[in-house]
Amino acid sequence: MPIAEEGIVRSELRWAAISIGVVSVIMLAIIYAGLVHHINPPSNIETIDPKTLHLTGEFTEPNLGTRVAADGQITSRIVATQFTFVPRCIVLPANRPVTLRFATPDVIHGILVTGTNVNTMIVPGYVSQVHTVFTRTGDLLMPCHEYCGLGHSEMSATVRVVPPGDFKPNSQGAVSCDAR
Amino acid sequence: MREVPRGAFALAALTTGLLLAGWLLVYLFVFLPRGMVS
Repeated sequence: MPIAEEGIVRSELRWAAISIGVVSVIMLAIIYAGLVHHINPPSNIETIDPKTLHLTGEFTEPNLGTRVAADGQITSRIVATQFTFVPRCIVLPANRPVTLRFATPDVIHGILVTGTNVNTMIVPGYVSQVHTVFTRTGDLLMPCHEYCGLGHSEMSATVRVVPPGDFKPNSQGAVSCDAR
Repeated sequence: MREVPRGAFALAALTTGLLLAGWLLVYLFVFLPRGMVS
């Protein structure tokens, strides 16, 4: 092998090693975030009939918003529809595990909660579910982040994170922004 | 290596390093502090 060619092969191998090193660092960081910090992509697969979700079952109007179950589990159910969220404001406690469940009767929407890793698509026919723990109190903006039509830019909701002591469910286990 | 300037390798290493450093900064100071989600 000529000397010039040998040098090229050596530098190619060096770059291959650097590339493998960079990819390994990134993969280890992602595995660390998943195993130690429990930051994983939401992976719930659950179907729902978008034509009847507002008429029967979990996503009927009285069930929407935040509910505390008998076992203490805190769940917020939200319907995303052109061009609003129902309800437009939910209350959740800080530093406690909470579950957000979303469904849509019309088109694809998406949400994120600003300043947190909560981020999911909301696809007709499926229930999107995210588990999280909010650590910061205050009103967090939750906009629709998937273009859903002409009113998309107006579509947003508020996640009101309150200190655990201020989180007081009523006799039905419901907590709403209006009651506060 | 007679035909390839060494500066090209230095530039490639610098830009790749900066990109990785930027990714790590976002990972450490934005992604991890935003908390758990699953």
